[in-house]
Amino acid sequence: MSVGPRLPRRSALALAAGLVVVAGCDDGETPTPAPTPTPDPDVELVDRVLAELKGAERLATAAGDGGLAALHRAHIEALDGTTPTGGPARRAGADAVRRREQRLQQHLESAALTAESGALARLLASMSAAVSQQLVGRLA
Amino acid sequence: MTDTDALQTTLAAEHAAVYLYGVLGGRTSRSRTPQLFDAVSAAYAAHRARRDHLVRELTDAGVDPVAAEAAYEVPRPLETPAQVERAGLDLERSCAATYAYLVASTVDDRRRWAIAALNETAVRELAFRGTPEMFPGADEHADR
Repeated sequence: MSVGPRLPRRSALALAAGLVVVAGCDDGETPTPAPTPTPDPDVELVDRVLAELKGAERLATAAGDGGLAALHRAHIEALDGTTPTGGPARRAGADAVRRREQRLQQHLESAALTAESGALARLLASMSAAVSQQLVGRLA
Repeated sequence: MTDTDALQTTLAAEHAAVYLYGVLGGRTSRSRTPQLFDAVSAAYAAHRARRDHLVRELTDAGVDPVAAEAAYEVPRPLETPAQVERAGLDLERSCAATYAYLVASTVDDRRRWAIAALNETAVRELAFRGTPEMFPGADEHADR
């Protein structure tokens, strides 16, 4: 199965580009309004997940937990192909990291449940399982 | 591929897991390796419960649940606790991939169940000396 983690964002862009072409080919006298593209609900979902992941990555980095930060960077890259460049958060303690990871795990589970794309749901569920392993393992 | 097909595939995996954990249970000792014994016993109970849930789910949907095979290939050798641990870890990783597939193939309550199963199985890997992974059940993302 081909799993395209960048599918939601790109499919939305492709849809928008196609509509521009269609509108440009209309040679009739009466200008027809360009149809409004139907937004891909997964684009917004991925954006929300990325915001959570980037926040968790900054906190893990600030807490000096390089392994956890690397996990989040891998997840961010899987979703949008970029590496986070934001500055580190203020110094963070283990309790704050653990609470943030618990929140992230629940967020990822919820996102996996609501994703329209089965491939995206699978990826998000796998990420939630990876965070669960961290919570039971090193962060317990 | 319908969600019913995916449930049948998952049930077939659970039949195998229940069988193999039965074998692994016979290779562990409550007195000599209590932690391993507990891990195998807990895994056996969890997979049996999941198997029963899937049988009910399919039956309620008017589908004949896939039956268990008479026997399954058992990993060899299984002479030491480390070998039993390795077999348990491999089994959980295989199940994680199956649950991830089920997540992709279902929606709503069935997907919710698959997500929970994937999470529990990923955590159970740690009881068999597994190390945390980047993408449990979806290894291909780790290879990119």
